[in-house]
Amino acid sequence: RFAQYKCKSSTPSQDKRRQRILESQKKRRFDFQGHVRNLADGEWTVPGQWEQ
Amino acid sequence: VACAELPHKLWPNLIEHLTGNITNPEGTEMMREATLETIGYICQDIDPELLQYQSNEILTAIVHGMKKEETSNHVRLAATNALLNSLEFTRQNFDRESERHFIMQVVCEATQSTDTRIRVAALQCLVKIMSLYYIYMEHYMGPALFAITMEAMKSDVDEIALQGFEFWSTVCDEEVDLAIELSEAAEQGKPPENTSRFYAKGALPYLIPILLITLTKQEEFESDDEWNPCKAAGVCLMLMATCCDDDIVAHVLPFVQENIRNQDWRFRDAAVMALGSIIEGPDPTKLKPLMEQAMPMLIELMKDPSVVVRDTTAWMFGRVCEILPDAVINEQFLAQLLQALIEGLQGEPRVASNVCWAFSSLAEAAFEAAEAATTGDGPPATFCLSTYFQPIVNILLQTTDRPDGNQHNLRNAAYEALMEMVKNSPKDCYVIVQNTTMIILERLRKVLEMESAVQSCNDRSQFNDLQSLLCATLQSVLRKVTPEDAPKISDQIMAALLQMLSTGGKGGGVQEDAILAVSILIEVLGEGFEKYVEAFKPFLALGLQNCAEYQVCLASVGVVGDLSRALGRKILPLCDDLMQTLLSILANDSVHRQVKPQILSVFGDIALAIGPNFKTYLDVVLNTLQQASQLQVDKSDYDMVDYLNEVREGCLEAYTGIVQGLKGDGEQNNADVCLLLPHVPHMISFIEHIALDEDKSDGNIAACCGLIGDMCTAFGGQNFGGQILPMVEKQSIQDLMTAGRRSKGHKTKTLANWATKEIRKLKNTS
Repeated sequence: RFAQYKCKSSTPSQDKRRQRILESQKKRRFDFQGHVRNLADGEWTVPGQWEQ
Repeated sequence: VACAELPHKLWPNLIEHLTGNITNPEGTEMMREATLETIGYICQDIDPELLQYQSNEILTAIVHGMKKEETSNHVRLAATNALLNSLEFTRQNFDRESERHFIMQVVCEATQSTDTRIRVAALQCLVKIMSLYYIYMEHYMGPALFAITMEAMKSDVDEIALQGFEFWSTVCDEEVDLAIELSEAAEQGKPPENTSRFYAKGALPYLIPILLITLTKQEEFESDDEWNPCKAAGVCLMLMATCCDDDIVAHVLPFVQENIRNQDWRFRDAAVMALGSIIEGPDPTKLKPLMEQAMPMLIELMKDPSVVVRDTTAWMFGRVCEILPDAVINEQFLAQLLQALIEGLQGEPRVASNVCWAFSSLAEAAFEAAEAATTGDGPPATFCLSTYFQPIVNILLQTTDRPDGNQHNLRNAAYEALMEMVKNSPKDCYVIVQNTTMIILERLRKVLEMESAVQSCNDRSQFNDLQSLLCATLQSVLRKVTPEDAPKISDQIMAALLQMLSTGGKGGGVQEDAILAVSILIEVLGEGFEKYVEAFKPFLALGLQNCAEYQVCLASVGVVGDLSRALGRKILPLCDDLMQTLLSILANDSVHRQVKPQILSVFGDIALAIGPNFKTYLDVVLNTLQQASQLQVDKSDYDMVDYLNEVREGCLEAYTGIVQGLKGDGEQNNADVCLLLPHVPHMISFIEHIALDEDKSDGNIAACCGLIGDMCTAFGGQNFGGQILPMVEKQSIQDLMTAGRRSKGHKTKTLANWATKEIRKLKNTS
């Protein structure tokens, strides 16, 4: 309960930074694999930064 | 001794002996007290399952000691404490109505004892009973529990009042969980297993006045670590709002209106606290006009003579910015609010720390609002904080340097607010972000220069925290730097990061943040990172081998994936060493389990990067994947089910990378892909196995669909199409793809549709 008193719920932390980077790596892996599928298929549109 | 021996069945008559001591009419008071204390300690420390079959005897002895006929308060107190510790393994007794009635009667009677210690212990029992046996409480709530806890909350004795508030906070926790259970059951079209009795809603008119008056009993100079009824009432009110939604507003609002201008700071503070506590729960459209109406007064309270009021007001704004941002992001109030917050940032650390939180939430909400109004890719051109961006960043940078920054977590809060401001910055703030990058780099350089001067443990700890924060801020700014600008500052950044990694004696936290920053630098520079590979290689090897600090190892594994994507075939010279290290981590049983699924995924990244050159590692990796894909876990343990899904996703991503890599990206499939043919039946059987698992994640479905599509593309040519088609047309796989097409996840849906098309193409050509 003590931690709930005047708690600041959205405070970022090292855990969150780690989580954010893991998610971003997962997304880039997905985009990369999607890009390959696009080369193979020609119908795929890859969203996001990959195309930069 | 009992806790050491009972699990090995070495003292079979102990419980019989102890319970005999209590029910023996010849036993002395001291003997009964000591025995009950002993039972209490055993119940507290032992695995409840071990005592379950003796719960009847234990409970009989405890209740015997708790009865009001017991003349010794020492015995009664020891018995009540023992009951508190035994509640978890007496479920069978609570399931039986007559026994439950008896236990409840004895506990309720103990709450009326004249001995405060017994009353507190009995109330603690009621709190725990409510949490463990909510479904059975209806019979006792009206006739007993309601009155007992109302009286407790009004008590002048803090320990008693605290248990009263804790009881109702527990009721809220239970009822919020039941509401979640109800909505989940509704989603699945099933009736819920348990239902709420809405005790909190029923108690609102009686409970809220007590909570509100208790909010006015603040200590002027209370310590931060002190837990008292005023704080407990604040938490209870917040939980009541989450549990009772709109119903709470009418009960709280009159108090806020009456007291927000009260001459006594305690009442002003209680009014703001009450308002801040009910922001989450009620419908935002109901709260927004009320909040807008109160805004001028609330902004004024940021300058209140009482620091307690200023602190609570800043906290309340933090909550509004996070939960109800629309109420403050509007032309009418934004400028005034920002002015008040900037002034608040220069106040006491407790106030400033809350203001930092408000800025973090405000930046996120403002950015989201601008994004929603923007069409096309990339960050929005501008947002409502653009005009104020520079002064806010300036004051946050000043705050990070305050000599009192170690109080109330202020330095961390200020850096974190700065990171959120940068992360959520639109295009028109880019120059400010660029300047901030240079300031952070300069600070990092200065800090690293001080390395040798750090001597004491305390200094070292603060020094490490500061490095970590600067590194984290660097990560934030790097994410915003354009690909054109990144090479202009990358030498300086990489030099600082290498220096951070090279000086020993740091905690894993600093190393992890430095490696995470390298990850982002690789992402930003792409192939341009190649020039740093030679210098970074030894630190990457050290990071991968740091299994003791698994976060460092995990971040390093991630970097291998980043390097694979950025360098492509150019990573080949590093691959022998990297693959050997990754395989040895997988074989190491002492490595934290979170690392292993990531390694599997990274095998896919490497395979995709080096294409046919992956042949060298093919046998060993496929063998590893075959073993990993056969992992079984205890399905009653939710954490292990999550872990199983992560390992499976890692295997699927690895298979995907290998299939795609060996196939190549030319118009004709590379002949090397045929090396995988003997493994296709296992891959298909693995997907079938996942398809039949009720606990599979959406991520698993997506990855399965992706791999199915890839296999069709890789092996669906004239030579093998006839073999692959019957495999992917199996009912379980078709059901999995149907689930994928119906998924709410965009990624899963897209992959399932794509894979379906690939199968259709195969059919048409066969």
